[in-house]
Amino acid sequence: MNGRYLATRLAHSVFVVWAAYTFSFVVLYLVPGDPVEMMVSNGGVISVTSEQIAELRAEFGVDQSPPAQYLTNLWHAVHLDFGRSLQRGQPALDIIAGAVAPTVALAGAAIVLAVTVGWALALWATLTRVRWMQRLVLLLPALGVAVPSFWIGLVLLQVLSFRWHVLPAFGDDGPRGLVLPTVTLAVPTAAFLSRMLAQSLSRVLADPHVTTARAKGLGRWRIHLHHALRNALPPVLAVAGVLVGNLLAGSVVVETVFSRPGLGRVVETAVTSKDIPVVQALVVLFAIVFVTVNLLADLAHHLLDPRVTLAGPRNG
Amino acid sequence: MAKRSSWSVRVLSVGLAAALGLGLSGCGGSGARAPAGGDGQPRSGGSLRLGLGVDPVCLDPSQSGIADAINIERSIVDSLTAQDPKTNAMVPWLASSWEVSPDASAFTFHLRPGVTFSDGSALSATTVRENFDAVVKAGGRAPLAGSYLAGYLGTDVVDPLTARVRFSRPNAQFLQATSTVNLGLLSSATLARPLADRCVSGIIGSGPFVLDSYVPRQSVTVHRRDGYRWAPAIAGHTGDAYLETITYSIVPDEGVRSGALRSGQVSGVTALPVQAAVQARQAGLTVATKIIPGVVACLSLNPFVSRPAIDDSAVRQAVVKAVNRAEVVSTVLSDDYKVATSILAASTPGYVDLGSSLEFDPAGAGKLLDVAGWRAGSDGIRQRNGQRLTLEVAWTTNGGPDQEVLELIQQQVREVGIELKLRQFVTGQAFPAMQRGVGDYAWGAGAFRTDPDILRAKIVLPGPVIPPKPGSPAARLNADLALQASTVDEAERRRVVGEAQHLAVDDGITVPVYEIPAVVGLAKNVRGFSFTASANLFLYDTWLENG
Repeated sequence: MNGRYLATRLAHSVFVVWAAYTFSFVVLYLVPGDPVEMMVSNGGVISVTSEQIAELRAEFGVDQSPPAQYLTNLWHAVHLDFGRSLQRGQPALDIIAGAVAPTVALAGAAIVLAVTVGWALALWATLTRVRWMQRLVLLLPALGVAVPSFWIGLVLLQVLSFRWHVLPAFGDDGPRGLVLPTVTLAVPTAAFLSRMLAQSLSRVLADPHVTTARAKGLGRWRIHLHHALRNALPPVLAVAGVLVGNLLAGSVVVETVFSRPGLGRVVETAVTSKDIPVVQALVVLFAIVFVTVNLLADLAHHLLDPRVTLAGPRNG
Repeated sequence: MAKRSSWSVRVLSVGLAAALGLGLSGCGGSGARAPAGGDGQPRSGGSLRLGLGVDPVCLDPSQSGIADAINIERSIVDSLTAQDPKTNAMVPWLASSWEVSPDASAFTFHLRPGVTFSDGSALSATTVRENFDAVVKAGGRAPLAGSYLAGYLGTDVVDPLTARVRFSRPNAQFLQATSTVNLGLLSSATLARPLADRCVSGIIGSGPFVLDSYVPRQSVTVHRRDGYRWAPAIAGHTGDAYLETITYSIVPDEGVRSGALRSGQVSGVTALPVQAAVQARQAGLTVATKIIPGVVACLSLNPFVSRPAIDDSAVRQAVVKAVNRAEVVSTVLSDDYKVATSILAASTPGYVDLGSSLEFDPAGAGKLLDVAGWRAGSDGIRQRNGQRLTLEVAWTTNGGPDQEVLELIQQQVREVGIELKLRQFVTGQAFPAMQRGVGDYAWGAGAFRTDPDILRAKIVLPGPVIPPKPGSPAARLNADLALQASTVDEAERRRVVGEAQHLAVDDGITVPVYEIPAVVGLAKNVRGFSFTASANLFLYDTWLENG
């Protein structure tokens, strides 16, 4: 690990965040519909005068040309000012700050569950000597990836909440309310993880060094945990950023189905109402999370496998 | 009018966030009793938990438009007047009496003495002035409330309990507007706060409940106010409300909302969809419905286009006759909906029954088209001078069954040789598209208000590029709509509004289809529930049996 590597990675990260910001700006402006008219319209009927609309447009700065708006917004964004929400009037960052905790709790719990279950499945699939059981275990992940998470959520709700009354269907009231959404959000991630890890493990287990270890008379568990797993992890770490991205995307659906306040719901309402300041602040936040996770994953990769030298663009 | 909306998992699966639409309509009003179980001796106490479909976004009545926001605010905020949900008559509330000037440009309100806001401050004529001044100052941020005060000159404090509201031009709808939540009265302390800070906290009214907290996207809680002595004349009792607290939980998915009701996790839900209402009834729960007054679900002309087909009044009238409204209601909707018999719902003041003009008459439609020179083509679609009889509808996603309804109408008009093309838009994008000339018709799932003035919002859209020809039905309709706004004489206003409905329907400027209900599901132990005149929740008289 060296300073030059970190500087290069940091520059890359800044570029990614800027690109995400710019791309989202372009997309938002290409979508037809004036955000201020959307803000004041009631079911397609606009009851305010054109002067009032002009005032609001000036207040939110959407009366300028798109390039001018872009530069002004970017300048403010660099100073962590994304402007006020068109829908709620509060600063965009305040709205996001208020929604971070529920999503972090949900996504955090889902990651722990997904990693635990995903690894357990992968280990079981590669450890077991019962052939059909191995096949079955290897099938589960494909199923988990294929089934849409809102469907899983609705089935869980129907059975555990509406029929058996075991867990609440909605709300953010403590850990009980977190169980069903966590399971729902974790299923696709666990499935994805276990499939990757199982494949990676099978590959490593066929490697010569494992054969050597077997020849030395080491036990299955020891070979798995000490030799194979260590080598099977890096490909999984490489997709950590994608996994976190999937979790954030999944939170839109899961938070809606389980009526949880959080970033996913903020995303949903901000996009539908074309609340540009909020959408842009969210895009920047997600981009920062994404590049940070990737950076951490690369550093972890280095720690697991010292042959990876972190010398710059080669691993960038 | 305001927004009513809901989403479903069905929509979620298709397009996630981008495809989710906020729908239409609903409006504030005052309250009185309606059915939904009111037997036995009301019991004081208990907590009511309700599931609402939509986050209220902003709890400041003047800035609100979403129906579920108004449902909450009605518990916190009182109005100058109330509207009887049965007769639509205006009755006293915070104003014990009022006078309207002959030209409907000055309204004098005599306030009830002894009314206080929940922060202890007293209601006075000055408070009334501060409230209306604040709405006008809010400009575009108070779209609905601001439109009710169009032409506002100011409020005179005649004496501490007498306020005179003056307008630069006649404003006949204003009296009804004073009964809406949007013009509900807030304490001076609330008005002193910046507009943006009034959305989440600090909404202080004189209502039977007091706001405790609003966690955006999650819940709103209110508690009962002790010493409430100014319920509207139409309420079922006087004094304090029965319920101790009300929690409004935001449960966006309609399937989860109805599941939560059936499994007892909430005691009531708003915006119960068609299928869930059936299930709830089967499960023995109470389903309370009220047709929402205002403009019905209809096709209305896009004033920004001029094309040979839609400009032909024979075509427009043929569409009106070719739509089988009874079939729409019985196959796609349910008995909670009603076949439209005018462009206004029957519960709207000034409604006239045009049921005979709206009868399903495919033969009559065909005859009109034959005479106008539209002849059947090879594929069944009529043509004239080589031009196909194709009409386009711009419509918006809305939690309601709009798509199924429109597809059925598409089949129905095809039977008489008219091709209907459906162009779907995300909320907020239909109007800009119409301005660019997309769509001969717009589909609107209602525009709600308990005053015929709502016709203006729906039919006369701002700045048509092609003004109607002088003397044409559209021009006369516009003239009538302007005239009713300045007519204070009840009988005369009724006549003008009646003529406007005739013009809107007989010339095919609008194609009314069905009246839209507010559908609320309630647990068995919820008693004394009622709707306001505008079909919003009125929970002052509500109580819980053994709960």
